[in-house]
Amino acid sequence: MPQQPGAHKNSKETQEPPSAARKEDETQPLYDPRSLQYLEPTQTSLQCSVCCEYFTEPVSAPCGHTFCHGCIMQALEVSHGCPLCRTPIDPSSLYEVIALSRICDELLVYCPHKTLGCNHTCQRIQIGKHLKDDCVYIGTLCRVEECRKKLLKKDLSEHMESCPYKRVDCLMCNTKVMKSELSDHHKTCPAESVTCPHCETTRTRIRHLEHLKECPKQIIQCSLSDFGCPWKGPRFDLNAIHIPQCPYESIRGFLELSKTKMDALEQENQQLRAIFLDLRPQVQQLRDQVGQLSESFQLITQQDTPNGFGDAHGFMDMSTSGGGYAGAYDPQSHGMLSRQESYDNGVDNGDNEALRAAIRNNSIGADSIVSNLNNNNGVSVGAVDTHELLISENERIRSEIETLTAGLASLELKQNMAIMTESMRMQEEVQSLRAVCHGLRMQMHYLLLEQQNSRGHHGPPGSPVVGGGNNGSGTNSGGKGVSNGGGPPAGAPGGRPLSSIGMPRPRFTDGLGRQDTKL
Amino acid sequence: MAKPMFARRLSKELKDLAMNPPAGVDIIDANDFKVWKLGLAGAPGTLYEGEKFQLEFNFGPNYPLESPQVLFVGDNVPIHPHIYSNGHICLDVLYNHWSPVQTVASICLSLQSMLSSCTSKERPPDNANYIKTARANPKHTAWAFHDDTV
Repeated sequence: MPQQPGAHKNSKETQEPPSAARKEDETQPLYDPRSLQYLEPTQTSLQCSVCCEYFTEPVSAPCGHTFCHGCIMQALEVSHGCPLCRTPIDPSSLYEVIALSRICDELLVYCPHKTLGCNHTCQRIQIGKHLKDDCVYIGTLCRVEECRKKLLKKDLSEHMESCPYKRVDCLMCNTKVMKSELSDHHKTCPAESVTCPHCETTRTRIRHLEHLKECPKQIIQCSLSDFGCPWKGPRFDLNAIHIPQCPYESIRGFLELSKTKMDALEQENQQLRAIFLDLRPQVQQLRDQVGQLSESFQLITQQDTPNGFGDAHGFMDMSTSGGGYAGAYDPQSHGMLSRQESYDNGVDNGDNEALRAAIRNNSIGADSIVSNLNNNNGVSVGAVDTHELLISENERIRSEIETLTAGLASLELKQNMAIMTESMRMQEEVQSLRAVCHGLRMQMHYLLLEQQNSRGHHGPPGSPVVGGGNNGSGTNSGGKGVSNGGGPPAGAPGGRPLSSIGMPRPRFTDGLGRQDTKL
Repeated sequence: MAKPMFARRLSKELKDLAMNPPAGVDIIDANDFKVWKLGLAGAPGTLYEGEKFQLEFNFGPNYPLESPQVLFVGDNVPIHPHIYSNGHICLDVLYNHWSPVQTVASICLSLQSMLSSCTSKERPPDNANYIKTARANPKHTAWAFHDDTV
């Protein structure tokens, strides 16, 4: 949005005369100088060709063209030439046209508040002063802090008469009261004179309140009305007439005593109720805990029975150890031992069996405890003791089972690992054997082929004799030929079929090292 | 309370345009200070005599420091070597030769004179190519002003 630099000059002028105007009015200019309405709007020779309005702070460029200072500065930001003739303009070369400025300032304008009813017209330069000091159609705020109503200056004095927030003196007590609250204040003003409704004497309100406590004609109840005395009458009569006759007066001591007792009891009752409410959730919590424990205990006993002979063993153990708790626990320690052993032995399948047996023993121990407990229940030794014993035993057994299952899991893992490494080794061996087999097959194949060839060329007769004679040396040459790598098939067609025929026998019988057979 | 510059100038221009419009120009639609539609009639004694055209002006908030978008709209776009069939006008004062002293009325006069000085009714030679690639706003086109005769 384009700024109006012209506003600065004019607003400065308007602010020059010091007056009692408030801060809000000073922060913003009283009017927009470019929105002024002129009496003569058609003198185009006095108008800026950029904004098409009468010049505000006119400046001329060296080319001779004149614009408002604000307009030309904005136009030069967009393009650097004169808007009219496009001659380049340096902003510092602009100069103020004082005469034109005066002429334009002397143009007659309407008050900006013409629409509100101000018919004032004056020279443009005067309009700021008019708005500041004279114009009654300018907006202002009510002076009362709580009100701050926006209104026109001309309505201010009228408003001040009726402003509900205006402070008014209370004529009775001389305090300042808001006008709107004055009628309410009269009902409570301590200086207001009030007539007592009982004895019809008149005094100020502040004294009246004290008077009511002792007004002799006020109707009051008997002081023992709390205990049931129905008497009502003027205060004046209470002591003089009623008290000597009052039937409750004679038992007053008893009544008061019982009342204090009642109060004490009520208080105690309340305290007890608070304690009760406090304890109830705790009891509920404990009950829940007991329920959970018994459930978990049942679960353990159910898990143990599927082990088959567990129960029987338990009873047996119990009977042998005389029903003692320590005796019943013994098998478990045995289990511990065997488990230890199984750990030591490592990857033996047989040890898994040992572990299982250990667990079984463990469960036997648990069962024996259960039965032991059953016995105890019958004998009614302290039930609480048994219960605690049971719980602690339960915990121990559970932890034992946990360690055992962990051991089992690790054992299985180890075993799996061993099987895996073993099978891998076997696989490698199988592969190497397969490679050996393959090598042998190839050799066999080659030899058979050779044999056929030699038979086809030289005929069967005599060859066995030659082969037999060559037997000893043939081994060496044959070995060399093979280790040369791919020798036999290449050398076969050309050279010495006789000596190569002699090769097969010694090679097969020798069973030379594996690396030699690798072709 | 201060009206922005473009609003004040446009309200003044609108008043002037309504009071004494240039020859052949009439206001069709100018309800705000953003888009105006003006009618332009071909001047008598020219190739466009009797024809009616519609001009659309789009004013930005920096008007008159920046030029408005001006283009022909409607069914009848004048056939002229500097006017493309999508309504874009190749006229230097609408683009880089814009000056803030120009007004809607002065643009209308320039267009009227451009039409009047035309000697043969034909589209620009690159019309077919241009209307395929041109953006909606003619101010985004890089114009080359080479022909001063029409």
